[in-house]
Amino acid sequence: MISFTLNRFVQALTSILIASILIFLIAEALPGDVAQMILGQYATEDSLSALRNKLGLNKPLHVRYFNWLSGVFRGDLGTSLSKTGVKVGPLLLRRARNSLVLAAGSMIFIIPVSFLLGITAGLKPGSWLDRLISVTTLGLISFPSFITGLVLILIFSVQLGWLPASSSLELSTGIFQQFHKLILPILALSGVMLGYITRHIRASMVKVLRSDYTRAATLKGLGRRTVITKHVLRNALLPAITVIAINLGWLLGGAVVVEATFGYPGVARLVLNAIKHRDIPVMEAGLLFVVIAYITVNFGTDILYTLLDPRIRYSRGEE
Amino acid sequence: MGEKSLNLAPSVWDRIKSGFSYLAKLRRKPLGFAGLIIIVFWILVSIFAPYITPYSPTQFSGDKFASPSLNHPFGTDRWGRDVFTRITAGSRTAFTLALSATLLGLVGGTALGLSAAYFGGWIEEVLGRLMDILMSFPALLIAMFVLGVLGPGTINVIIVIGIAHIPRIGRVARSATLQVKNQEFVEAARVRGESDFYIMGAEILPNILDTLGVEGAIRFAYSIFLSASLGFLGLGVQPPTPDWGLMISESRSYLQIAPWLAIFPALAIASMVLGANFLAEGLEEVTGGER
Repeated sequence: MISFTLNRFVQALTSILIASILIFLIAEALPGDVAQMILGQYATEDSLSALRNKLGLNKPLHVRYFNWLSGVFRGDLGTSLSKTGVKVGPLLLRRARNSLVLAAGSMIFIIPVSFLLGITAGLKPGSWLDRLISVTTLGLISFPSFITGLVLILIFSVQLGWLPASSSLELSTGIFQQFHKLILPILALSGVMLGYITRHIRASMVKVLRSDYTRAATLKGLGRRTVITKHVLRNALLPAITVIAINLGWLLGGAVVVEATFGYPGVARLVLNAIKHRDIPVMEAGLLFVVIAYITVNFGTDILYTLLDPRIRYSRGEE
Repeated sequence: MGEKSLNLAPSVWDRIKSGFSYLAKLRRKPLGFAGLIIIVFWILVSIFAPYITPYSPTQFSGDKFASPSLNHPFGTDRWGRDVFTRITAGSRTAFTLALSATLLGLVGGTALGLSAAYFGGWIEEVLGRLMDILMSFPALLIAMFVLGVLGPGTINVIIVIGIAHIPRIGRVARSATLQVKNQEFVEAARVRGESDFYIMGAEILPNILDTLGVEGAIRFAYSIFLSASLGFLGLGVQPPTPDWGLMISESRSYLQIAPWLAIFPALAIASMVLGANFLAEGLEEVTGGER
């Protein structure tokens, strides 16, 4: 177990390192000259080259990469290019917290609902309830979150006036005092994932119900209730953990559409705007954060999964 | 599958026939059939788009923000362009993007997945790792990033979405090939001394087409989903090209005064993705794919 954990840990670190190189290289490949962007198009050649020297832009690529990386380790992420003088570190932290609150909110909503729906549908495949749930979830995964978001805005903001259409947060008040602004984004963000996870749980319930050991448990004379709670649920819900984890990563990066729909200040929109404005320090920091969060979640899931299901430890590498 | 006791390689003609028989069988699957009808409807709309309405999708044709009426069944937008015309013309944009991206993903993914499974060994190992890395990031995030570098535009959106499909299709193609590659007709071709390329193209590929077809339908639905999202974020097709995602993004400032600007493109996207997903579900049932 320890060697497995170590192994996975090294793998995760390597992935993060590779990702950081990729992020840096792609940011370098972006068209446009940083010095020109800071000073504007009327800057003289002298002042441009002075600024390039000051920013270290004349140094070779690998030197600049290590400068950036060591900055990351020291917690110094540089200053934003588009928002003059704003430190990237604190900006990113605030946005990251907002994103995590949004993701956590969705998870709290999604997990119980999808388990309930998935188990209900999976217990009686082919029944009208199963069909209803199947069609609904197929609908949920078909609507991009900006459409769900828009429908929610049209109903709850424009028509009923209950909740605000814009979710931009006030800096002076805490995020939980503004919880009413989070409700619509959380619902919009949850739609697609709720559909996916429910369908997954249903499919794995059906599969386990048909399996030999379920039949064996029934033939042993156990009651249906015992068979389901002791044997079926356990085996059917385990794979759901992986699906939820994969989607958790999606929540962090994929939330960009929801954040854009509601004007919510999360990481993804920060990165999107940084890409649009060629704000390289913000872009690099934001992307690195998303990648680290993503890989960490995957690492955590692998460990958790192995703890729950000892078979994995011995049968890694098989399909 | 499964019923055949004699494992002969089916001919191309058999394949075409079975393709049509799947469509015929769809009639008994309400969901899949509904999906088929929705998709056929949109295909017809996109073919006849220029002849359906008298207006141009990019020129103004009446008052600004006119609410839906007989002349403008879906109203007009802030430039006075007819929304109905932009929806029908937008179906062409949607199909162009989604079909090209799906095709790109199918060709790339099948080539990689099939050869990985066929050759095995280190080739499979390297390709598998590569796909795992590609797949471990959210498609939308990769798309956002790459479009940031390449700049927005039709071709770039197609490339980005196609590339995002490759690892997922590759995985499906790989596992389908693994099921086929040890059967008698592949062995027979090998004994006959056929080249690897021939065996992969003429013996294995026709036998994984069912699986690839279902996967293609799923990826098509996802392509529309993704391209609409990218359009909405302003990273996709650029104005004044009629694009549903872009239309919704432009409508947001006018939700109070002109909700139809958002509602109709939203319905269009939703129905097309839903149709493709229904169709994929139906095809999966009909072809008996257990995935």
